[in-house]
Amino acid sequence: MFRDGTSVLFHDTGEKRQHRAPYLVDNVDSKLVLTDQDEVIETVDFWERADYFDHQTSTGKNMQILIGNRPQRFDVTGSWYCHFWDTPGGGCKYCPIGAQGGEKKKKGEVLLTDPKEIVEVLAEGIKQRGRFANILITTGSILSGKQLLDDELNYHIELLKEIGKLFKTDRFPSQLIGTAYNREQLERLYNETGLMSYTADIEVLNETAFNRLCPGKAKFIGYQEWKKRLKIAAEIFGRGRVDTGLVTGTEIGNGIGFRTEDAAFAAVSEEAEELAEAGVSVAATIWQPSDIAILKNAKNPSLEYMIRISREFERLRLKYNLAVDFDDYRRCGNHPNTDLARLR
Amino acid sequence: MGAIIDERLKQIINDKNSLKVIASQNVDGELHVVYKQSLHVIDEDLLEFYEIIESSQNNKNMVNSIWYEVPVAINILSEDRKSFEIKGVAHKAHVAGKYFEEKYVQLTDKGYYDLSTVWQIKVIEVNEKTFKVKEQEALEQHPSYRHLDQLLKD
Repeated sequence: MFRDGTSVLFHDTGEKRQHRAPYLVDNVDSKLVLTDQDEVIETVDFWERADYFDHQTSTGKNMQILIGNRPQRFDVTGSWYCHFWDTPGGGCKYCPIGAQGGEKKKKGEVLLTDPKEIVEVLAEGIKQRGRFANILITTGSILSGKQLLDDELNYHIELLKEIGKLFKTDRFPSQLIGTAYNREQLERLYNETGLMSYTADIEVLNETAFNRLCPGKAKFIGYQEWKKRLKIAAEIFGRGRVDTGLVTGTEIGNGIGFRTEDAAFAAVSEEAEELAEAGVSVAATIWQPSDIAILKNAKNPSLEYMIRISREFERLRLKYNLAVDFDDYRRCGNHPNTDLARLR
Repeated sequence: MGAIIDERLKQIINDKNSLKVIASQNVDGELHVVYKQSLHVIDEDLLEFYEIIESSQNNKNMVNSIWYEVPVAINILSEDRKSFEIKGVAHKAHVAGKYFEEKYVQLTDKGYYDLSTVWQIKVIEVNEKTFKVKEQEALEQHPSYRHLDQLLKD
């Protein structure tokens, strides 16, 4: 964590693909500092271990295994396996999480965590006063059910209902990162639970790049339909209570997207504005190619592009008066465009 | 260099009966002034206050201060009308961790609805602005700034 309260996740990208020495957290004069090629950039801290990490569930499981966290948020992951990976080549090409999930499936570890067990951990965690301000729930996409995605939706509804029993208010600070549900499914999610905000990650704001990058999402739902469902979600949950995650940078080069940063900027900005006008904001993470993803040898765009597009997303958020409270620096962080919302 | 905040000023800042205001700027340079009675001394060059409301203008302006090193100005008025202007810059925002949680528990037990941030301000400069002191300085340093009728013989 930085002095301003910003939290940063880091990824070990492996020795092979380093173009230069990485940032290093070091101990200098008894202080933790971030260094860049031996130059001290800033003092930093690690975020603290939650108290519930020392506890076990009633069935003897270590609670820290069941729910992770950010500095102020529970990270509830129902399952680490994404069923878009069931079809060879169906997973998103930049995604290291899906690849890990595939390994877990091979080991027979594709299980949804029991909602009652999750709630037991949450109840213990919330005893630490002032520690948690939000509950994030996510589960790899589950395509099965009476309708496509019904099994995923039903699990989330069951889980959210259980969690809701902890609180005295009808709704509680929470975010679900789910697959893009249809109108009927979104209405059920909103009406049957206390969920406050909804996210469905479109990953990249260009149809051609989406089709190449996320073949599973493209095949089962499609780019235009995904955008339509985000807009419907904003109608149901309210403007500024729906966003979509982007893996910023995947829209350029690598045989996936635009040839130039200028072309990408123009096209992506236009699509982001269409969503913002409908009440949907974006959470733009910075793409860091991973050694275990399909696109492991990809090159990401320039820092200048990342800054330019982040500022553009913030300009659009302000133009359309959208809040990103549920996905800001404190609750999630790691998307620079929503960090900028701290200023206005 | 000696302490920027000496023992006398520390007592005044920490006195709950003193009035404490912070003036800050947003990212467009617009000014904002707010009372912050929770302001207190942490160290000879470090002040701290509690920002209860995450969405407040002051909270946004403190981010502007810590990101871009934009100064903030503070004025303390003691119960006996002594006034001090303190200039500083936001130094740290505690938004999580045991230190934050300790303050959170103290404040919510007192009835506050939540706590956003424990802000710490690095002090750059302190100047006394007590009216009587400034009046004496003006008389000594700017004798021309007088209306003549005040100087007439009785």
